[in-house]
Amino acid sequence: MSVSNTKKRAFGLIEVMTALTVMIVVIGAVATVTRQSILTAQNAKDSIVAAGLAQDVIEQVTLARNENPQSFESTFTPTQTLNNIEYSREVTIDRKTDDMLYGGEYWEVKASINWYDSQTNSNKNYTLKTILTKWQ
Amino acid sequence: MAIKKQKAFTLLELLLSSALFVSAMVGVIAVVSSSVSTISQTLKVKNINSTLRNVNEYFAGEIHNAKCVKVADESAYILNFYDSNCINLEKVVYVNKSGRLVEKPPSSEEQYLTPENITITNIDENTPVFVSKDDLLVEVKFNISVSGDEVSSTDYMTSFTRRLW
Repeated sequence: MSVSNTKKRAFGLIEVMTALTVMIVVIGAVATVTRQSILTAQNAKDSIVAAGLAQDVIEQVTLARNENPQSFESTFTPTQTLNNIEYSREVTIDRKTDDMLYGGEYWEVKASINWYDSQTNSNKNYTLKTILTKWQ
Repeated sequence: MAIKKQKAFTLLELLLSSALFVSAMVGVIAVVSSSVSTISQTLKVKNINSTLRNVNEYFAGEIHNAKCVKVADESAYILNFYDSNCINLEKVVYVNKSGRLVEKPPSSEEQYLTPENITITNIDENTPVFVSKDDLLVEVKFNISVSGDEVSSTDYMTSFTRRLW
C-alpha cells in the first residue's frame, strides 16, 4: 500500500485574514462616502430653507424702513419650524456713517439663522447681510 | 488499459466556492444598491434646490419691480400683477392643479416656471401659498417635492418687498 502525499496549494490563515481586512476597509470606505453624500445633500436642502428665512428677515426690515425711515422695528417670528427643524432667527442693525458713501449714512443689516442638525449633532448657521440706505 | 488522471474540481469544492461567491455577491450588491439609492436621492434634492433658487430669483425680480401686486381674493394660489393704478391686470402668477407654477399674461400663452416633475402645494390646509401685507410685502410659503416622492418633500418660506411705488 503506498500513500502518496500530494502537496496542494491553499490559503493560509493569515492570508485569509488579510484579504478579509482589505475587503472590510473597502466596504467601510464606500459606506462612508455614501453616508457623506446623503448628509451633504440634506445640508444643502436645509441651507436653502435657511436662506429663504434669512431673506424674509431682510425683506421685513426693508419694509419697516420703507414705512418709517427713522425706525427699523420690524416684526418677524423669532423661531420658525419647517421640515421638523426649528430655525431661530435674529437680526442686527448697525448704523454707520461715512461721508463718502450713500449720502453719509447707511445701515448694515445682518440676518442670522441658526438650527440644530440632528444627523451630525451640530449647530448650523446661515448669515445674510445687506446695506440699507436713507432713501427719502 | 491505462486510466488518465485529470485535474478537476470535486463536487465539495464546487459547492464551497459557490457558497463563498454568493456570500461575496450579496455584499457587493448591497453596496451597489445603496450607492444607486444615494445617487437617486441626491439628484432629487439637487433638482429641488435648483427649482427653489430659480423660483426665488423669479419672484425677487418680479415683486421687487412690481407696480402693484395683490393676492387674488378668491384664492391664495394666485398672485395678480397690476399697472401703477392697480386697475389693469398685467400678469397672473399661479399654482395650477397639477402643482406647477405658471405665469400668464392677459393676451399671451401661459409659461411654466417649474419643471414637470416638481410639485408645489400649500404646506397645510391653514397656510396659504401667497399672503400680502398692505400690498407692499408678499409672503410665499409652499411645499415642494419631486412628484410622487414624499421623502424629497421640503417646506419653504420667504417674502419679497415691492421696491417701486
